[in-house]
Amino acid sequence: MRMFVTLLLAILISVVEGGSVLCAYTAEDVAMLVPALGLHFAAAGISFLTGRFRRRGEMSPVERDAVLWTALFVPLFGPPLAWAIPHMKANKKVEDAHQVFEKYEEHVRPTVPDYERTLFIGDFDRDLARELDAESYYEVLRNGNTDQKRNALKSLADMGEPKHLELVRRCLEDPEQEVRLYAYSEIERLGRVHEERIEEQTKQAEDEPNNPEVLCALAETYYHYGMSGVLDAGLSAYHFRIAARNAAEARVKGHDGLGPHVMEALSLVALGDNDAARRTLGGLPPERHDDERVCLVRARIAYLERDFEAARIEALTLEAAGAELPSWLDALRRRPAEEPETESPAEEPDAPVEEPAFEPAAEAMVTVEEIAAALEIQPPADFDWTDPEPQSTEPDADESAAVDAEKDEEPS
Amino acid sequence: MRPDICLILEGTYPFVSGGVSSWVHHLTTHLPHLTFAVLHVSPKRGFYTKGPVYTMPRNVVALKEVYLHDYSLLAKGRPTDLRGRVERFRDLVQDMRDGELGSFGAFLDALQEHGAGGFSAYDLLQTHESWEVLVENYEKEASEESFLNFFWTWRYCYLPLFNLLSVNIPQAGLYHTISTGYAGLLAAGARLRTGRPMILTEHGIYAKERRIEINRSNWIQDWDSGEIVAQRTAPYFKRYWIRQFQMMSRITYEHADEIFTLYNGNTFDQIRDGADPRKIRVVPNGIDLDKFGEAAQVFDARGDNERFTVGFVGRVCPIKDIQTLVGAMRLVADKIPNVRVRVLGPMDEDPEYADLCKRYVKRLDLEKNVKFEGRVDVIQEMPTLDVIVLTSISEAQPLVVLEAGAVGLPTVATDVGSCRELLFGRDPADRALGAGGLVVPISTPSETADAILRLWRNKDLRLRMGRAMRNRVQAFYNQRDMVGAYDEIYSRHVQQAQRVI
Repeated sequence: MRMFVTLLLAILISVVEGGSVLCAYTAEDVAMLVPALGLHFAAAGISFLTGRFRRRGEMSPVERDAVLWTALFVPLFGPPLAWAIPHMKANKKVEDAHQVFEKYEEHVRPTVPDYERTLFIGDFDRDLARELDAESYYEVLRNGNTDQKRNALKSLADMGEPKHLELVRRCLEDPEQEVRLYAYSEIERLGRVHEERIEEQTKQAEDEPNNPEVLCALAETYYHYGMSGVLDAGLSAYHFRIAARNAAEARVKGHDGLGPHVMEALSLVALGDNDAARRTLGGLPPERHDDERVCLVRARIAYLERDFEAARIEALTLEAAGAELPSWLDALRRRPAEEPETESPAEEPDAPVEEPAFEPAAEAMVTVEEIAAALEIQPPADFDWTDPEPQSTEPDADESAAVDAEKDEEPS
Repeated sequence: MRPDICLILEGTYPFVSGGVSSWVHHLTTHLPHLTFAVLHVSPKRGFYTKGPVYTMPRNVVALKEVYLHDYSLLAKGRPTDLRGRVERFRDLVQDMRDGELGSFGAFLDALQEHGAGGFSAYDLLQTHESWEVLVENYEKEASEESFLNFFWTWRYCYLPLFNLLSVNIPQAGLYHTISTGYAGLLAAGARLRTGRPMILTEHGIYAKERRIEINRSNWIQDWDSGEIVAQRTAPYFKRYWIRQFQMMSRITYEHADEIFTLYNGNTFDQIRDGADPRKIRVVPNGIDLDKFGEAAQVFDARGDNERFTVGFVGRVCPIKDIQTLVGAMRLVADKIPNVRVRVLGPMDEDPEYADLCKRYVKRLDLEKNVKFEGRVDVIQEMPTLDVIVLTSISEAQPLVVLEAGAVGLPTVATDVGSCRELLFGRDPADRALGAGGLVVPISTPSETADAILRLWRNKDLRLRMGRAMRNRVQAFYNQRDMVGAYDEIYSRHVQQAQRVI
């Protein structure tokens, strides 16, 4: 009986201990380590009480010592383990991210056709093949050490897509000063390339002030700099304004091509003035309204206004003309046409609304299932692209606060 | 005459102007009852073509330069026990590789036994015995790298160390180094050889600055450059150099009797890099409150500026990131078309960068707003400003923030070095004085512009912040306190040394 009780208690202690390790392993932050610590102490307590319940004299010195030492050491080792396990988990996540990327490089990338670089990754256009690149870097930037972050920043900057540079810009506020400087170096390096090009073309524009082609090229360079992701929002907007101005000037100086109209419209779209962009395109002769570049701008405006049906129609127009579509527009084209709204009897409130199934063409995109099969892993299910809560970096010096507020300010 | 203090410096006073040099100059000038010798580590003979840029005070009784890259690789005859000395070199190399500190003293002895010149650079790097050490290390840790690159990295790593540690160190009551790195290593050597105390004051963290510099460089061989692959570690030769500088820091920390720094933030880096926390003390910078008090009176008496005036005070060089300032002012000028921006500071440190900034001003159509005025009398010009902006990507404890505060000006500064601590306070008593400005991330023209516009819109906020900063500077950043602290430190060590004698 005694052996049976001892065995039961040992199993109970093991289960409690195992539970605490599981809690520690799944803990996302320090606060969630509390249950793990609690279970550790519970295991220690059970172990201690095991000895107490034995009648005096029945326990051998060895047994007694074993019980007492267990009761002492479980709490001592438990907290350090509980602290170390999440850290090892974070490091493992970084390792996993590297491994995912390496497997992807080896197995999947050689089979994926080149696709046009684009700014738009719509909710329904989550191309995991490309997202996987940035996703593995995102994990590294969240959990990696300084060296890993530095290398990830360099790679993201070399890839050069605005979405990737957004990640680089975020690292300008990394808690580690070194990482902030690496992020700065990468942005500065990319910015230099654009600056040199702008300087060169500005000089050309000064030498040939009446050449509309030069002005249009300068507009394009300003626009692309604004779109590059290198500049922050304020300076990007400035560059779009200058691009629109140069494009308008090119038109006035007699540029007879579509370039100035398209460039001005694109710049206005980037500034959020879609109506002005439409008016600019409307100024084109009617025979140019269906030009490929004009259709693309209209598609972009429709997309930004969430009028996906209108964008789809533009895509069909372009397809009929034999134009090559960017992937985001191609994905729109493949959506089934939305049913026009008609008068219908009131629906039952409980009737579920079915979303049309999205089925990308096999040759256009690698599917999630294909990637998972190739990599023999499941893509992370909990990946979150939303921005974290912005941290306030300045004291709350509210203009309406009295002088006393100055004394109460606490730096963040 | 034996000086009281031997200052061991690298790339600063009296040859380079800047914050650290000014600090050293100020200290030596305001402690006339102590005598100083300056031992300066320079890259090579004649590097500082202009010579000293400071007129050293009379109590600086000696100036000696040590050249890192001035060595002869000619054979001078085989010293006795060459093999034994190379063994000690082997032990030093192994320690540097493994992060140990034990062999430094023994290697130092090997260099000094039988007089200077007993063990030459030739013996260290051109003998059969030293070749064995080189090959052994290559095979142990770099067998997949180019041997040629390893050879040259090895040579340029250890030759300067040899030069440094072979120098005859002047006798002094106390050795004071203002950085780790080569100067710190020399100071550690002085400590071991003479038995005199050695103290270290760090403004920036040398090892961290070198680490950042090396990681950002493209002149150290990086086989994977150009490939878009997320590497787990830095390339080998970069790691090698970083490790060397880290070890130099650790050796300095180990042998320093006391370690000082300017602000709390630095202490974390020092401890992380191996410094004993019990040795560390914070002695912040200070400014001359009397001189700036007069400037404060001028500022208070001044009416409103006709044009809102933003000032930048400092050297026009890449670390100050003037381009972000100019970008921010472009956005400010969209709201305040007649805003005035005065860039006050020397432009001769990096003429190419200064020219780039001027071209950037032109490109952003700010020629009517931004003026580069060169070197000015800061005390005279500061009261004419409304706000100071500092967009540096790296700082320690920028004096300009303290100077602006002494006048009564708020500062918009990037979140680098001790700027946050200076503007918001470092402890509860300090924080209770209120915020002296606004802090923004580096390289963010939009946020910088927003901060400036916020101060423009709200004059009351501007004045309150200026007053808070003035109170802070008067309470905690008085130059007399800084000088007094070092007077006490120096006197204590010098008196102890005299008692020993």
